[in-house]
Amino acid sequence: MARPMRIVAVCDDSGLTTVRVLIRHDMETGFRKRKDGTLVPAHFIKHVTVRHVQKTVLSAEWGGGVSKNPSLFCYFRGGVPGDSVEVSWVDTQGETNKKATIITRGKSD
Amino acid sequence: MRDAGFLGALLGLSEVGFLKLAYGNNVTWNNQAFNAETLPAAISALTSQPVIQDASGSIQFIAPPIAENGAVVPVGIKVDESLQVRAIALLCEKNPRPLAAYYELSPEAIPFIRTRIKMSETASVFALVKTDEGFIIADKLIKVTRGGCGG
Repeated sequence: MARPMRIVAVCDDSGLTTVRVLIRHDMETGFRKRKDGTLVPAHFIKHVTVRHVQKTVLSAEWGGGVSKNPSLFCYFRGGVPGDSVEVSWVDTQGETNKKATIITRGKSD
Repeated sequence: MRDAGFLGALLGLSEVGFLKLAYGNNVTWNNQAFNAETLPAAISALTSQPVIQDASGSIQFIAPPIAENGAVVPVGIKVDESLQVRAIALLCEKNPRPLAAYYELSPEAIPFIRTRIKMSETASVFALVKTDEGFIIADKLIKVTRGGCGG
């Protein structure tokens, strides 16, 4: 994958699931200048969706104000170890990626 | 003029259609809010309803008072779980485009979001929270020792 992502989903004893997502992406705002003074064109992730067994729990819209190599945290109830969690994103140039993981038992933070 | 508007609507529709195809879900990106150049403009693009200052401390920021690197400022927003939170917007007052992120939450989601944002300079960050009872807002000043816009 050109733009890899990492997802971890853990469910603690209280039934709270924590999803941690790291995406490799430059998140160019369109305001940054190169050394020769020309602008680097905008290119950033616009949407991120977190699904728990096909059901959307979090839907994020992002702008260029989110840092390079963005992170996303999502907390929800109703998940159990073994359930699937899928994270997908689309950027301003229509590039997309998605990755799924299985909830494991662990400690939330 | 009517033709231009019609064409614009058609283009808008086709873009949404394309994103739906690419993404397989209902996709909307609030163009007006994300392109707003001032904080009040961004807020009014997010809601036309009155926005009430959070006086009861329902909104809690998890963020450092001083950020050494403005390119990566960790910000968390935690809202009282007794409120039915539908959406949380994260805005930075002095950025060229104040709206950084907008999160829509399902009823199962805990109203707690965390991400890392860019800050051009020392500024207040704002959390605009959409609840079943209306919109509430809170802010926190974050000092930035090195700006995150130059690169």
